[in-house]
Amino acid sequence: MHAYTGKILYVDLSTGASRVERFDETLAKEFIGGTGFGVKMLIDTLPPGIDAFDPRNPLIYAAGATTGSMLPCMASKFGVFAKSPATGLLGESYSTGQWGAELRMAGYDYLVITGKAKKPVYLWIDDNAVQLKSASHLWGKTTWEAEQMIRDELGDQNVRVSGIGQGGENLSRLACLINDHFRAAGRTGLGAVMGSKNLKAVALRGTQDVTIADPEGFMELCKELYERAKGPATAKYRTLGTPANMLTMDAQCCLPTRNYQGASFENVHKVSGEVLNEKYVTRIQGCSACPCRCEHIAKAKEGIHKGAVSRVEYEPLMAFGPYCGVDDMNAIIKALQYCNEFGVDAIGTGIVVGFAMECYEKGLIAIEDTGGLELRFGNADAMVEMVRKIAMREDVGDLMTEGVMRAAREIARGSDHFAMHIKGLELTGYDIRGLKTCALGYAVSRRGGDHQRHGSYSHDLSGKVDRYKAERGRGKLVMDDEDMYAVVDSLIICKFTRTIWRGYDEIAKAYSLVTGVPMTGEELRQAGERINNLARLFNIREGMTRKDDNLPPRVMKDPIPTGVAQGSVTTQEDLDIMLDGYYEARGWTNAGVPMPEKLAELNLSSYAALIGEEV
Amino acid sequence: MEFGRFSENQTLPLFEMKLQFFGGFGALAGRSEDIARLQTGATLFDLLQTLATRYGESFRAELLQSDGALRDDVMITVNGTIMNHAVAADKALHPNDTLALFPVFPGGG
Ligand code: SF4
Repeated sequence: MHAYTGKILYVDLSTGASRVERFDETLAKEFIGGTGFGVKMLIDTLPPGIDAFDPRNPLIYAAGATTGSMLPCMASKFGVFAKSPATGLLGESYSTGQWGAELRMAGYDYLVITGKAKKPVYLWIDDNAVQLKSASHLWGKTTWEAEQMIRDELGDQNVRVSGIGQGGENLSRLACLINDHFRAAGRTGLGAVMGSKNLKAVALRGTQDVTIADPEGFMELCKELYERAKGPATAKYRTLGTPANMLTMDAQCCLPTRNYQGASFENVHKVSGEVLNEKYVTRIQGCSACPCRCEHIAKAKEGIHKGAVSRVEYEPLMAFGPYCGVDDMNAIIKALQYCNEFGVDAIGTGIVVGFAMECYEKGLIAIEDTGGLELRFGNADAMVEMVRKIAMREDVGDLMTEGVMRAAREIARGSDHFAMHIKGLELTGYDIRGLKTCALGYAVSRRGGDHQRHGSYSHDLSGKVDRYKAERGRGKLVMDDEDMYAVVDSLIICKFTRTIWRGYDEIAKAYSLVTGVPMTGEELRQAGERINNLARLFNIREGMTRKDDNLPPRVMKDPIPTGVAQGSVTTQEDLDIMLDGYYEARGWTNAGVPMPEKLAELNLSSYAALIGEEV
Repeated sequence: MEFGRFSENQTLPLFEMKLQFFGGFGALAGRSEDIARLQTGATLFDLLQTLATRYGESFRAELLQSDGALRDDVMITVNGTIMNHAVAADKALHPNDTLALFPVFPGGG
C-alpha cells in the first residue's frame, strides 16, 4: 500500500507504554480511513456501555486515506473519535490545517490513546520517538498559549499541536480540540475526553515521505484537480466564503434566530457575509496543499472587543449572531476567539447561550445565577462573557457547559421544549421546520443534531423536492447523501471542495492512483454504506433506539412565525413517514436496526450478535 | 436593460421585473438588485441565459455548468418560492415578479 503507512500507534497514558501495530489492505479497502477507521476502531476497542470519561474510552485520531499527499483539498484533514460525552454515542469530529498531514509524515495513520495520566501530560511524537511530557505548567493555559509554549520548549516552531483549553480541562461537554490556532475538531465534546485523561495536547513532528502508487497518473490528476479547485466550483468559498449563507438562509426563513423562536433576523444585514468581508476580514489563508484557500480571518475593529481575531464560517456566525439576537460583529468575533482559546465548540456554545438567554427571559434562571449578567437576547457583551463562564464553569456556566439537553433536565419547568438538540448534540444553522429532507437528515444523523453527515438541505434548497412536504422517498435521498459523506469523511475530502469531484468512479480512481489499492466506484459507495451501518450498530450497542431519531419539540410544535416559510413545522407524523422510508431504503427494521442480510451484504456479519435481540 | 426571447413580433409588450443577487452573484454583477425588462412570454430560461451573458463570464460560471445546465448549488426563487431546477426553465415570468439568485454551500461551514 502507498500513502497509508499501515501503522497504528497505541499509547496508554496509565502506564506510559506505547506500541505500534500494523494493519493490512483489507481494512484499508473496506474502511478507507478517517470516519471508517474511527468507527471500526471504536466499536472494536471500546468496552460496551462505559462512561465517556472512563479511562478505557479511546481517543482516536485518524488520518484520511490521502492525507499528507498533495492531492488538492484532500491532503490536510483528520478525524477524531471517541464515545461522546455529549451524546453517549458515537463521538466524531473533523479538523483540517496542518496537523493531519504531520501525523502521516510522522509515520502513522491512526493514533489511539487510552488510559489516564496521573498528572497532566502532553504527548510528543517526533517520528518514531514517542514521549509523555509534563504538562503541569500548561494546565490552565489557553490552547493558543499552550501551543506556543510547547513549540518553544521543543525548540521547533513547526511542531503541530492539537490540544485543549480550559473547556477540556473542566470536562465541558462542549469542549473541542484546537489545532493551528483556528481549526477545531469541534463537535461532540471530544476535548473533554482528552481532558478526562489528563492529556493537554498531542504535539507532532513528522519528516517521512508519503509515497504515491502511480506518481505519473497522480500528477496528472493533481493538475486537473488544482485547476478545478481554483475554478468556478469553489469561487464562492474564496470570495465571501460560507458566511454568504446568512442572507440566503434569512431570505428562505432557514436562519435559526433567538433560540429558534424565529427563522429570520431583522438585523441580518449587520452580520452578513458581505459586511464581514468588507469591514472585518483581514486575511484569507488555506490548509495544507489546498489551492482553494477559503479561511476568512476577521478582526474586531472597534469597541471593547477591538483586536479580537478569529476565522469566521457561517455556522458559528449564525450561532453567536441571529441565534443570540446579536448584531454586533465585533462581539461575535470576540466570542469566536474565546471558543478557540478556551477550546469549546463554537456552534454548540452559541446554541447553549441562546438557550440560556431564553431561560433568562422566561424567568427560569435569574440574575443571581448569571453572576450579574442581563442575559437577554441581543446583549452582545453578556453573550461574550457567557462563553467565558461556560468554559470556566462559572455561575450558571457550570450547568450550561453540560449542553442544553442536560441543562434542560436540571432546569425543568418546560425548558426541554426549547432545548434545541438531537441525541444530546446542539442543532446547527438550518431551520429544519421548513426543510423536510434536511430534518430527516438531522434526525438520523449518527452524531446527533447536525448537517455535516448528510448535507441534505441541498435537495430542499435547490428545489429538487418540495421543501415543505414529507415523503417516504426522502429516506433514499438522505441515505445516498450519508453514504457519499461517509466516503468523503473517510478519504478525507474537504466538503467545501466536494463539487470538484465527478462521482464515485472518479474518486475511486484517485484513491487507487494514490494508494495502489484497487477500488471501483461501486466498492467505494458500498464502503460508505458499510461505515454508516457499522456506526448504527455502535450506537445501538450504546443504547440508541428509534425514539432517539427524533427532533426537538419546538421543531415539531412551534410554527415558523413569519416570512416565506411562515407556519412550517416538521411534525412527528412527518418525521415518521420519512423515517419509515429511510429505514426501508437502508434495509433496516422498522425499529431502525440493520437486518442480518444487510450486514452479510456489507461483510459485517461478525457484528450480527449486536443486533441479536433487536431483530 | 432589456431581456427576453427574441421575437419577430417586436410589437409584443415589455414588462419589468425585479432581480436580486445574493452572495457571489451580487459581487459578480456589481450590484445586489437590478431591473429586467422582458418581452411577454419570456421564460426563466430566457432570463437566466441573458443574465449569464449580460454580467460576464464569471457570473455565468457561478450560475451555469460548462454544458449550459444550471449548477446544482444555485438556488433560484421567483417571488420567494424555490424553483425546481428540473422544471424551472419553462417557468413563465410575469410583470412585477421578483427573481433572486442565491449560492448554496455544500458543506455549510
Ligand atoms: S477549501 Fe478551505 S477548508 Fe477546505 S482544505 Fe481548502 S482551505 Fe482548507
